[in-house]
Amino acid sequence: METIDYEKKACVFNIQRYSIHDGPGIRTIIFMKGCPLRCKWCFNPESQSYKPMKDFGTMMSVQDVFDEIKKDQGAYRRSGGGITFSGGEALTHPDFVEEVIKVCRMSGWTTAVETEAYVPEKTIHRLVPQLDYVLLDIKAIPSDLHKEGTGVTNELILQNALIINEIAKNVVVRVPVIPTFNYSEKQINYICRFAKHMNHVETIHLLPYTDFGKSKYKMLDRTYELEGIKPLSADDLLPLRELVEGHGFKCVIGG
Amino acid sequence: MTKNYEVKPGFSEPSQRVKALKEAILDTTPRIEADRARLITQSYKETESLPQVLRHAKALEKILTELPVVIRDNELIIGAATVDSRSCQIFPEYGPQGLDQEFDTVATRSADPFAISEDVKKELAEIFNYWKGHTTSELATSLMSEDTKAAYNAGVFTVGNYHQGGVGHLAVNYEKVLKGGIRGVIAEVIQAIKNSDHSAPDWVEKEQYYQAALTTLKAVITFAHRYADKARELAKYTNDSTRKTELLKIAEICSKVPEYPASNFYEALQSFWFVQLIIQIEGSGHSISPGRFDQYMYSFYENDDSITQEEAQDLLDVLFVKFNDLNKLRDIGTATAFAGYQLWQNVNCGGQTKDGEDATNALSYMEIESMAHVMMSMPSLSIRVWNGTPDDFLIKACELSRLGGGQPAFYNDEEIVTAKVNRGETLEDARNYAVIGCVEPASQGKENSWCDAALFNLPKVLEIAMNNGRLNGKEFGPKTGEFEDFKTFDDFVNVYVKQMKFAVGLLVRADNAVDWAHYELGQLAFVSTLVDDCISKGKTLERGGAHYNFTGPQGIGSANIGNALMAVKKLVFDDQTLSMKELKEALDHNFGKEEGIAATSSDTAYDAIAEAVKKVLGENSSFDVKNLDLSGLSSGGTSTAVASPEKSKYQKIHDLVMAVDKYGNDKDEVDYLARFGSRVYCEELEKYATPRGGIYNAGLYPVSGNVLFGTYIKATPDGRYDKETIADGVSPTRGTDTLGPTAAANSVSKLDHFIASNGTLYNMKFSPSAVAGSEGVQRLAALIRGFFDRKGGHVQFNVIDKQTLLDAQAHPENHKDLIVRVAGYSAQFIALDKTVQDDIIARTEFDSF
Repeated sequence: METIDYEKKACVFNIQRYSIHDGPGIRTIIFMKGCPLRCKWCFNPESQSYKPMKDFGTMMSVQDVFDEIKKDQGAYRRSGGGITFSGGEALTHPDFVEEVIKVCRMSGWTTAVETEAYVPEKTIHRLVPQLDYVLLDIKAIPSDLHKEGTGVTNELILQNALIINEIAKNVVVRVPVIPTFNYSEKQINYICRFAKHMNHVETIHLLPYTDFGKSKYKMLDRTYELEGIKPLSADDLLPLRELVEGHGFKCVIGG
Repeated sequence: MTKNYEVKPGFSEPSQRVKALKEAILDTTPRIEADRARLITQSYKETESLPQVLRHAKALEKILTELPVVIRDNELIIGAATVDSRSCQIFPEYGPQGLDQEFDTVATRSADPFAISEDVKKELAEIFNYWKGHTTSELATSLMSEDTKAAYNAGVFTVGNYHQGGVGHLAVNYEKVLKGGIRGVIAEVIQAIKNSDHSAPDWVEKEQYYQAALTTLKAVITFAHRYADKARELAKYTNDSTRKTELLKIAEICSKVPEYPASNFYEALQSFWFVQLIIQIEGSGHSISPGRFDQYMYSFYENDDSITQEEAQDLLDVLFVKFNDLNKLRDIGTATAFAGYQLWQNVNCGGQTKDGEDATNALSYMEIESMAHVMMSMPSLSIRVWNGTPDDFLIKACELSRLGGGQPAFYNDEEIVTAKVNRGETLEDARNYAVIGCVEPASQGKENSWCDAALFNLPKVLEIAMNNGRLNGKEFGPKTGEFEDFKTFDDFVNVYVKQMKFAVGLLVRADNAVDWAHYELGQLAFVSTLVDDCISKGKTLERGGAHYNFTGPQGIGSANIGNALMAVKKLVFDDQTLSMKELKEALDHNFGKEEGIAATSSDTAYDAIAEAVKKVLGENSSFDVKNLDLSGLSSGGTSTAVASPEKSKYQKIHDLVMAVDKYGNDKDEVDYLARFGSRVYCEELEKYATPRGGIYNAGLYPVSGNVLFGTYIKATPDGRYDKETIADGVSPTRGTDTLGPTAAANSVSKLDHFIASNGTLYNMKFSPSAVAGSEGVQRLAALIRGFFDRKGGHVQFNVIDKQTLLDAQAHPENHKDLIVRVAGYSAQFIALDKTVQDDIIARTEFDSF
């Protein structure tokens, strides 16, 4: 029996039950607060800072989280579901996430992470083998474009992507499709060509841009840089889906 | 040889015949016909010196011998109660059911209208006149005490169902007729006569019943033979050679069944239908439920080498359409609450055999397929689920849920069988339960569960507890102290228990009065031969002939009780934010809302029902309409602020109340208070015995009484405004469960479903997109399994259509629990931006196909 540090704490900004599109079965998502990226389209801008602010974010212990996530254990058991870590960037809380993974392993629940992989390589090596599913965001291949859209360059991300490909049990690539950024055949082509180097990736999810985070920027006294850009519909992405499928991947719009 | 059933995703198309039969029914304007009323009245006039059971048997004999015999175009399963399809006969022996007041409006009313000719009006008026003073409803009224009537009229409970009409609510032993024929039942009666001691004191009563039983059984055979003759006659005159063959086949079958045993699937279906039909001609009680149809029909399908699966499916479809040929008139209030010409003929499938093995067979799957083919208001389909239920079967049933008709409902054997054993049934009989009517489990062919005996208003009792035992300002229950004077939370809880004991006592007296009326005037000989042990005991159902007897009244508003107790506990006693006096004052001022306006009353069904209630109350002199101002109900949401300084004070208290944890969010404290509040009711009831020799057996389900009952209650501490609807079944109060379906289901499973053994009802809502794809139905199946693991009793899904989403946009406060799929995630619909909502609404239109 491995020891679990139930007292360890981190800032969690939401725990959402009955999540059904972020890994198999019925899942609970733990949204960890804090993110190294600053994506212009981010629809959870309140999750970017690592500190609790206003009403967003609570310091929670592993025990607190366990008490909450175990409420749906019957649904996990019956659906093959479990826990998905999201954020923010969950993997920037490696110690905390590892303790929660242990709790899940003990209880027999599957674990998944939704990550953009902008974390030290050693974190990837430490946590990814312990997770059942990795939903890996790849937003753009040209580094300058990536920096323009997210505030950081992508060398570390792409390098980690190749490692994840080697050591993850299951990996899916997810692409938020954003007008003015990567909403073009050219950019999606780049991503597909990179993904072909990840021989364990079978499926790519295309997530259409939505602007429903817009109002939160006002609340946080920040400017929404994508003001005026219309959300994409699933239909808008049909040509891109064909393109992705042309590369030999399964493609899901929405994911 | 076992017949296999290959499970494929999705549903096939029904045949042209099924489509035509369905269209013919939907195109017909239902009509009121007077034949039955005329025939029973003529017969009763000729039999005044006979005991009631024989009089009614002779009347049924006359009806079955003279009622018009009708075979409709395209029909393969034949037998009708009325000349026009979907029309109704009248049952004057129970009372006029409001028709005497509605002769001129019944054809144009908004809910379930029936056309009626001037001749029929005139004839029925005379018939009602003959029956005046001799009906079950009048006898029941005369047997009720004044305080019982006061509680009944003030909406503490209603026993209107069996007070105004027949009892029904049975799943009889159809198998006996299918396998042994009516002749087999006759032989059983004759054997019972031989076995009886004719000098015993009970022989006089027994002999009446046996004579009545034989009279009706012979008349059933006559009725079928009349259909055989009719089919032969029609065959003679048709030029269509295919139809001629069909009609001659029908003639051959009706000459044989139900008189003799059925020997193939077609004959068994026809035999079944005669039984199903005649029970509903004999008495006016609804919820005559086929029950475990896949079990008793299976051997006829399994051993029938003359029929393919496609042909059998088509015949089953034809029967499922035929259920909609029957109809029943109800008064406008009831019709508005239960609109849709509903008779609750409940067909079951799956579950366990008496021996505890999995019962799922080919017919179980075919029943689901027929539901998808027919998609009409009847029959209802109940899926019995146990731990051994095949996953593919459960998933197939979830696919049917996804079609959006609100069918099927899912039942948990693991809970229900235990609950029935706890009520004294053998394990075998408990495993052989059939779901009747809405959600009520009864051992098939052995139980007279009287399972829709009353609706009981739980929050009204809380109101009485908060008013020192006063009912709408008048002395009523024990004097238990003023609300303001309670010193501890336990004081309040104890008073609730005391008032509950008092109110339940009155409910039992009301039900027993109605029970006695049926004992005296409502005995039905034919249907009694199909429930054990009526024949061996020599007693009708109404006199306690069934092997198991219960009376099952439903409590409504568990969620309101839990939330109200929680608010008082938290705000007054734990945190001491408010005094009892302040809370009481806020309640007396309806939380500062203008009197009579319900914040969440804006859906049209609510308005319609409120209107209807108002009308019914106006017609019944025993209700004091002046005390019940419903004027605000139909204007939902148009509250105008009163410019007094007090206003905001009470509104602030409302905000405080609404911020307290609510049932439906998986919070233990409030969930267990809801459990306690409804358990008190169930435990109190089970202490009482019924006149038929059983015990009271509580349920927690609403039918639609929750809307009606809300109109009787002032503002309550759960934040509910004056006259606002109360929660339905065991579901959370609309709009207060905000953490998604798993959290809400967990809360519901914390109630004691075992003790609510007459059934519980839990409604869940989903958008079509949330259950899309094969993963969507698998998740639905997993949710059911998860809820049933925690011993929830019943769940059904409402897959939301576009209209509801539009309503959710307009009235977000009513739809907080609506979860929709957005893009890469699911979300609470009302939390989304309007453009996203519009997008989903546009998608939903596609999804709902």
